[in-house]
Amino acid sequence: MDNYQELNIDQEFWADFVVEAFEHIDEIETNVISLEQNPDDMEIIHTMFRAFHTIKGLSGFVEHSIIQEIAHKTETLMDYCRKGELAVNTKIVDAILKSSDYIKRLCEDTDSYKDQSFVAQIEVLLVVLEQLAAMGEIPVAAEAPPVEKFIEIPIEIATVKADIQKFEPVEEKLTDKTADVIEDVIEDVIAEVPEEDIFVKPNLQAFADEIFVIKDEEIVSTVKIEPTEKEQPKPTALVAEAPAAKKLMSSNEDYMKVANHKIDHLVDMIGELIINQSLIDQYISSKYTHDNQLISNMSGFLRITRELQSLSMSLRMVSFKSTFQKVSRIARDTIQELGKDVEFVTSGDNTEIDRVVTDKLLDPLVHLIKNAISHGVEENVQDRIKTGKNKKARVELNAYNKRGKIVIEVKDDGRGIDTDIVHRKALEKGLIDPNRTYSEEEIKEFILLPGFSTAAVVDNISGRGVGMDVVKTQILKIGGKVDIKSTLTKGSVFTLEVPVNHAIMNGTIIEMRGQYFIIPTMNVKEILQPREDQWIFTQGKRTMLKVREDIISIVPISVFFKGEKLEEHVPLVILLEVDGELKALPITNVINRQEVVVKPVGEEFSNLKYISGMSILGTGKVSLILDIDYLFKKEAKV
Amino acid sequence: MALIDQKLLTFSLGKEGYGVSILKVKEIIGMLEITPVPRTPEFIKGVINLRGKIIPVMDLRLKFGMDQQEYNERTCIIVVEVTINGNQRLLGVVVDMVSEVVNITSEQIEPPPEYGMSLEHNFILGIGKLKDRVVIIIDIEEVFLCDEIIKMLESV
Repeated sequence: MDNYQELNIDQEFWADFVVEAFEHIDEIETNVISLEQNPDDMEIIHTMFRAFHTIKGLSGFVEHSIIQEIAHKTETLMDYCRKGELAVNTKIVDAILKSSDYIKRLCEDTDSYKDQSFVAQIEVLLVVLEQLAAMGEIPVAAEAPPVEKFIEIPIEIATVKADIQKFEPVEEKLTDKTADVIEDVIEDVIAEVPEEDIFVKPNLQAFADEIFVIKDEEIVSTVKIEPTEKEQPKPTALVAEAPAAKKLMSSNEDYMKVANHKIDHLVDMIGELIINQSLIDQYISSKYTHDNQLISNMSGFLRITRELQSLSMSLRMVSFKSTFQKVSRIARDTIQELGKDVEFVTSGDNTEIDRVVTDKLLDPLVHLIKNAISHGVEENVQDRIKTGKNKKARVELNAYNKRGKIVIEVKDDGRGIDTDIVHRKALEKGLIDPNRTYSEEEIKEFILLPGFSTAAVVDNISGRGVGMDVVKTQILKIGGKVDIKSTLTKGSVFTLEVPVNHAIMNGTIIEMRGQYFIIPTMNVKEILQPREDQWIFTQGKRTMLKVREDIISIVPISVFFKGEKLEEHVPLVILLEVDGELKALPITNVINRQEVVVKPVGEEFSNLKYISGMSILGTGKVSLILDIDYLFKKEAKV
Repeated sequence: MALIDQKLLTFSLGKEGYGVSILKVKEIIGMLEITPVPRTPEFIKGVINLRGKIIPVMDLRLKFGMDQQEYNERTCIIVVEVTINGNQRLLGVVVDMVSEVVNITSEQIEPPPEYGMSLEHNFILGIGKLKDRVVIIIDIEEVFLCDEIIKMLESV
């Protein structure tokens, strides 16, 4: 592959190419998983064929001969599949995935083709693709190849005649839906007619007047079952089909692609508009209370901006499609690596959620799915049979809306969580109090503790005892929660409940040392004015607070203000709660409670663990959002 | 950054004149209320709300180890664009006063002297000799990505 050493990529169009190629690769990845489940789905095969075809064309344009060759060979393979000369099998699916992976890598790292071992991998793939395609090269009756595909019982080719000339070629791209419909129709017919008189039965005519097989760009062949005597096919029928198909295609054009940063900018600007408006509003309500006209105009204005805000937020909503797609891919790899017999099903991928949240959900979902497949599903099929379950295990990933929240379930029908084992492990690792008795529910929660893992062997799928607690931390970070339901031998369900909109949160604004901070209201348990005798001192410092029967430790102020000590007089204390645990934060004042727009912490402050975000208050001033989870961690004792 | 003919935005810190390539400058704004961010180096004054964007603000006087000065009506924030870990970020730089935008040719620029400078050399691109004065041309990105910031990014 010496000629690859000097790729002369057209830099000008490269960026555009990468964007477009990624789109097609995404499409391929979405489809390939479903193709494996429905290897006969012509529509999917066509989509994938087109995707590789486009990549091939584009890569030729930017003069990337390696991508072009991979795409070309894969396209050839897909071509055999779509002609029905090759049945889709796992090997083909693997090859397709490899092709898309390699193309992706070549796009991501323009120098990757210089990596000898990678080039070797590509060469192996190319050979595999050729071998697979070679299996499709067995000559088939040239006249009507699709017939064999659609009608799977042997019939006399002579009675079915390809008849393309009778019809005018259709200019428009037709969807492959048509082919599906035809397939269904024929199957129906076959089912109803006894084999021996397949073309005699009268009800066949009702179905099989005209059958067209319309391929994507051209009419490859139009198959028509010979009509009996008088019934002449009407060519107009084809024309009648065309507009419907065209309509389906054009639905794509109702969308416009907009860069993420533009939408973020719009959301920001509208946020700013609202802040400015609230400044004006405050001014009006303090100075112009007598001017009813002004006040009513202002409230009309408020309504419009509020509408505008919710509209702009909705622009950031995306479906779970691409997240599910990535997870499906990983699920497939995991299943294959472990060699388990598992069916992976997703539902609700059109549920919409803030784009920012989907990004944060990917890692937790990957963990959960890997866990479900590697730990949830039984190692031994015999164990499944013994408990009366199907040999094939089932792992589900479902998403849906529930009371303004998004619920994501990872469900398996595996062995379930054995609370005895979990309890013992947790004790061995010293994660829990040996003198306490825990309820079943509590024990299940142990698997979310840091450092917990029941897997005896550490493998490369999952099982290092990191993972589950990472899932929990991540989900908490975006304001969600994790719930575990599990029945021994029946399976487990991990439910994640996350807010639809990560960008807006209810915050309690407090004052510490003359500065405002925001605390997520869901972490605020109570605000109290401690009496002097409630304080507990150690080494001359106020370190704990006695509230009713509880002794609550104080969050040291040095966490925020390095080296500083608590003032002599602490007027207020805010009790924070995370997972039933309490901590007290001494504050000077409580200012307000309001919905705040959360902005991420800039990279330059990413090491400041005590803040989880920033927000702009109604006054236009920036305020820091405290990371309450961090305050509960041991490391926060500075 | 090569020392070629370019436009410089000049500003002053006390008696010292500085210049920064206009290409890095996004805008110049008057003083805004700055929200302090605790546990950051002293010269990081905090964050401001720049039309809905939250950006960090650094006081160049403090950064250069000069005495702090009360902010007054001439104090400005120069908003510059810097690249941190490959991401474009906006950064506010507090200076005493913004002077003017000047054209400078490569002949007018002297390379930084070897020693005798109070500043760390990698900030300084050169010394610009203008008609009536001399300005120190600095690379604002380098200033921001100095040791302390890197430490700040890495430390816990």
